[in-house]
Amino acid sequence: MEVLYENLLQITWQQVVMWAIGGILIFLAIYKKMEPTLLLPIGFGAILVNLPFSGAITQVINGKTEHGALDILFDAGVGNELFPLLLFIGIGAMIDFGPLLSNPKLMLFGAAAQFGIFFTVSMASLFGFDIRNAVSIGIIGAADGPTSIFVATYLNSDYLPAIIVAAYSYMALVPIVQPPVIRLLTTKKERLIRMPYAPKQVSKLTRILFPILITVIAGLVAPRSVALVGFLMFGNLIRECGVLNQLSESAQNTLANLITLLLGITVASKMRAEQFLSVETLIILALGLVAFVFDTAGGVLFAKFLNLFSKNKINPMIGAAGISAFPMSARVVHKMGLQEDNQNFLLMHAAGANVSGQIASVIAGGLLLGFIA
Amino acid sequence: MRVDLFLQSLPLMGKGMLGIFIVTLVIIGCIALLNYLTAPKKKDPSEDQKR
Repeated sequence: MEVLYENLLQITWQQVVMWAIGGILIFLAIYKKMEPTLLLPIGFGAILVNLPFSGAITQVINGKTEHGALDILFDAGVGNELFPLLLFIGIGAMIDFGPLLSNPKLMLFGAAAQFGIFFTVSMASLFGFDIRNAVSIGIIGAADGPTSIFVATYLNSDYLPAIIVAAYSYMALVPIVQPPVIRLLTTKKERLIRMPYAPKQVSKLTRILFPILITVIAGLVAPRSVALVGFLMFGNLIRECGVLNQLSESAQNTLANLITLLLGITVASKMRAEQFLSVETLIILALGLVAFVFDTAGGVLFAKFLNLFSKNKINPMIGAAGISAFPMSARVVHKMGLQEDNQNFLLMHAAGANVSGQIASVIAGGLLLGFIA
Repeated sequence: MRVDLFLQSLPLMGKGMLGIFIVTLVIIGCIALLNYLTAPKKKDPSEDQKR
């Protein structure tokens, strides 16, 4: 009968804390609707892997290695960056680059809003993280889960679970994080600036050539991240070519759902109490917030800078949509615009900046890998 | 606090932001070129008048 209770005696307080963290993530996913597709599996996984002698992860018991399913999945899908890449096919198929192609200048905001990545790399360095881990932490500012996973895995970061939890949590918190920063950096007069939307016609050929062109440019500049850009753009090409509608739908729904289903719980395999419960995790969560705040600030301040020279003034809130969190950030800016003036429709401008942030964040990740890997 | 590591990371910030803006400008230029080359041709009004 010992077998019924002997494992109970092996429970540590650290494991109980991890159950609580898992419970909080599940609560946030279900009741606060915060990135439920990721936070719920991560929360459940955090409980699953922190049971004493959990068979879900690889354990050495009596000198014999017993392979756990989650560790096998991790090695097969995350450790080699496969899951984030496959997810990017789905994301690429979901994105309409039309607003960006219609007004390519919006790409500048995508570039400016990557400032948080580099600022956070420096802050992480200040806190004593070596450059490999500092870059992995900074990439939380990419506001893009797959890119964060890709870069942190590529650099073999010691803090992958904390980085992923921070990346997805702050993406879900964009509607809470961005508005105060935007209000702090803009005047009411600036927030009231109207931007008429007069889209130029974008030909089908442009839509088809665009993903190929981006892949070539990004591949030449940052070859290490070409897989990331390439898979994103492959998904977009499937969407835009017009002859693969069923594949496009499969990529957007079935493929993205399947990968998401496995990604969260697989990542949780690394949320073991002995690795996760540390001061560094708390610092990483704080630095994640810094990354999102300075991304937003970078975009807004750049828009204000452009207004110094531009005849047609830009609503600086558009700059904040340059972060990659798609489509939350565009929605936040649109909503804030309507709050200030119920006839100010910023959605399409914000969406253009937002999708450009998706491209810019991948390029930023690639450049960082090129600099230090 | 590791000020030495912080100072070492600053060039990365400069190079990174510069790199992103350069790539972005190249992409903007390419999109503009694509839009120009693939834009539907406008009808010449003089053609209509001749008819």
